[in-house]
Amino acid sequence: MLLFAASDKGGTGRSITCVNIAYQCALRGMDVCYADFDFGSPTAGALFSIAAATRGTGTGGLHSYLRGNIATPARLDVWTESEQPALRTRPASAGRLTLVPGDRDGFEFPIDHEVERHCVQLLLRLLDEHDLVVVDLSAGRSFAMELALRVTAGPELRDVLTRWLVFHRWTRQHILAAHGLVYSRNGLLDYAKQLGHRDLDTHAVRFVRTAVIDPRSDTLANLRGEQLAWLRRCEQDLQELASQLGAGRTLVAGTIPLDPVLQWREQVLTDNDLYLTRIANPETISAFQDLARRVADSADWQQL
Amino acid sequence: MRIQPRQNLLQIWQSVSQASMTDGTWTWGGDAISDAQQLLCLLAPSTEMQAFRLSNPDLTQDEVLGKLRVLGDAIEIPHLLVRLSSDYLRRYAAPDGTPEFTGNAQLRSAGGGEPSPGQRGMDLTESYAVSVALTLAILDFARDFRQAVRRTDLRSELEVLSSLASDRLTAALVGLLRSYAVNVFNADDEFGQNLCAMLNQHGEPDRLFVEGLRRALVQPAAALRDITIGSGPPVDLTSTSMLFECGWTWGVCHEAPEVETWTSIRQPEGYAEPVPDLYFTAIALDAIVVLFSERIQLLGLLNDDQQRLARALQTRWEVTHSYWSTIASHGRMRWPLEDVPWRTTDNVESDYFTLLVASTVTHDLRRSRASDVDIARVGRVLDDLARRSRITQRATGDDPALALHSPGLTVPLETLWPHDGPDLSWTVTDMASRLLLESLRLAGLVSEPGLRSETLQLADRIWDHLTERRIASGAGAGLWDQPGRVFPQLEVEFTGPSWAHTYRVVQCLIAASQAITGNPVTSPRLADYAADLLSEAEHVFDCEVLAGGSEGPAAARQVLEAARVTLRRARDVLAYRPGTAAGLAISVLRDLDGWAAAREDLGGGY
Repeated sequence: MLLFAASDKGGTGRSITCVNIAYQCALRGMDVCYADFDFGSPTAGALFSIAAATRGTGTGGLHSYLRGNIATPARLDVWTESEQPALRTRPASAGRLTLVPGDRDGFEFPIDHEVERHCVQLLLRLLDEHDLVVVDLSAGRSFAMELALRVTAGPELRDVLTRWLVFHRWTRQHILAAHGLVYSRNGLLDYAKQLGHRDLDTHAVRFVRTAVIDPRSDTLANLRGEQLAWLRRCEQDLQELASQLGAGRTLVAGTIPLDPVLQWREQVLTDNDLYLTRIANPETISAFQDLARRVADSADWQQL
Repeated sequence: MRIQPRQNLLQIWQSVSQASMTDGTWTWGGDAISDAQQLLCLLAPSTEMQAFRLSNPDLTQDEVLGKLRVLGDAIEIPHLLVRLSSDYLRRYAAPDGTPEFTGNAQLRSAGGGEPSPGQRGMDLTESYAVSVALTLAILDFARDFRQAVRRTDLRSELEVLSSLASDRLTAALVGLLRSYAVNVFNADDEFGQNLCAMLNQHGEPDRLFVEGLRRALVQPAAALRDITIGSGPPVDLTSTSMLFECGWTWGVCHEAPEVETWTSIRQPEGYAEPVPDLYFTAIALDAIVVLFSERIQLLGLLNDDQQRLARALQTRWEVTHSYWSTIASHGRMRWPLEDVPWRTTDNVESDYFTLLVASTVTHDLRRSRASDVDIARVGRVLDDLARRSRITQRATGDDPALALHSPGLTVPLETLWPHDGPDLSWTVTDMASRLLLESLRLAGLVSEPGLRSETLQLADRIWDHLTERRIASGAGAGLWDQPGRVFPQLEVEFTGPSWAHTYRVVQCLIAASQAITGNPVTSPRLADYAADLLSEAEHVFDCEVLAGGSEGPAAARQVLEAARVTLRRARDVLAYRPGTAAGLAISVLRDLDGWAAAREDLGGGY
């Protein structure tokens, strides 16, 4: 299965959430590959704590490959390359977890037919070897998103199960932005239609809300009554806005709470962080687990 | 108000879902009335209260979802409700699709024998009434849910559901028209004598009293002449000694003509003696009033044919209300209503009848925008009833008043057709919950704060009694009704929930939430007081600004700035929350008085 991760704005927590989805899916026994298509900022290595690829790989990454400079891009096995102790011990039942990084200091480049052809070949090969290929796209209406839509419209990838996650923070501006990315003219759905996608409709697209503050959470105990009353009202308004804009609960795949750990250090949250160091909130990890389950579960992608 | 509608409804929803859903299967109550009430326990709040809406999965509240977890998630729950509603509408219909309005659980036979199959198949007014509420809720729910649905199979499922519900609604309206009865009698015969004995509170001479009563009833009597659809030939009330009563009987009246409808529906033969019964009248009035409520009219849920039937019912509703509230408050001094218990024309007395008559009076008070004086009189009757039925007063060892709660009041079902079974009766046990509903309705009418809190206090006390009557454990845990818990002398114990009671409590909580919504009831006295206080506070504030207070250091400026904002807020809310405005004005007066007092402290030191 192909899973594309998009967001209209930067800083939504798209990449860090994707990394955690990939990790949780691998824990569930799936063979997972994470392809860093954030061409303008190829830093996925840092999220997996792989020192050799914190700003992309120096040994020929996705940029070089897609532009035809090398025959295959570098691949890193997260279970062996990561410096995060908890990631270095692969649990017995876990599947593979591979990172396909970008070039060190790579940058955005325009798409042509060659790039498309290379991309199709790469995705086909990755799909052969993995159950799930997570493709993390740059923010906004980027070249990477255009590339993703173009290659999946073609005959080679047309029949591959493809799903899209659109990330947005739980604010008015981000909801409007995410709505625009999906529904506006030349947005995701419209562009897909222009490219001849037959079945890329809302049943293949889900939203992920990130850095969400739950007004009912106990962590807000220090807020004043006025602030809580206001917060509840804002929450209600946002729910209504999201519902009106086609980003309501029925099309939400997951809600990731605001977690200080993710604010200060973007990392894969493991059981270590929950039980040993206890720096992570259990709600955050269970949100990642839920999201990982939903990504794979077809029942959750059925339309109402 | 101590009743917390939101929290209690959430708790009830949790209990309802746990009692109804076992291992993923829904357990129905058992007959057409009880199943409808069970479904309404969920559907009524979800269609009448925004916070409990289930039809838009995007906006279902998390607290609600938490309580209904056994029913599924935000998407599964509305789906389940659609399936349950379809199941209900199909199950209570004949093979040819004609809706059936039976209800056996409350049917009793006088001689102890079992009702015959023929009797069990009879349509009942109570079943019509609850079907009106249910089908309107289903129509409302289905229409709202449809907007969230894109799948074509689900959309067509919703269309089928709406059309089934609409057919049942039409049939229920026809049934209600055909069970309307007018009983005309002579002032000298038994009915007439009973009626006059009840109404003639001041011992007027019979002839004069009958004349006065006929004059008082001239409006409903005139309106009755126009009532023909479904009720047989027009009544003749010209003779000077003729009196009448009007309302609903327990089922379709004997020889009631068929009602013309645009869609063909099979209309059952009538067996009921065309004599109105107070209980079924109250049930039907409650059901009909919803039809022309603002909510239903705005939603436009009725089709043209149903609108026509609803208008015919509305005429009956108005005549009936006018009739009952006229006789309940007939006479200049003491109202017949205040002479508890009420005695019916067939010479049965019960506190419950007083409650039903009070209910019609309450409705009429709303319509006529009555004065608080009249509302207070009804309030005193309700208070009296709460004491007499031992809800707010201790019961003695073998208190006969407890029979109202268990085994309940028995209403005979008079039939006029040679039938094959025993004489039937209907059991009614909802004295406490109906009393709560009436007190809440009454509280909603009051415009004077003192009277309002008095009425709400009565409601609170009845609510305390009702919460005690929840079933403690077993299948019906958290639901109603276990009268033995408050009246140990009643040796009854129920394990399963009574959906009739539970639904009535749900209705009470909806009414309570409606009584809370909106701005508080205030008195002109409070408004004047607040306006005066605010005016003084503004004056003192202006003085301080004039004295140069706003030119001082930051701390002093902040105090004045806070006072300015507070006063502006007070001015904004003065019209609808004078108490709040007064509180804000007082806080400013207190803050600024420190400055004035300090300036006046010129004694001592040179």
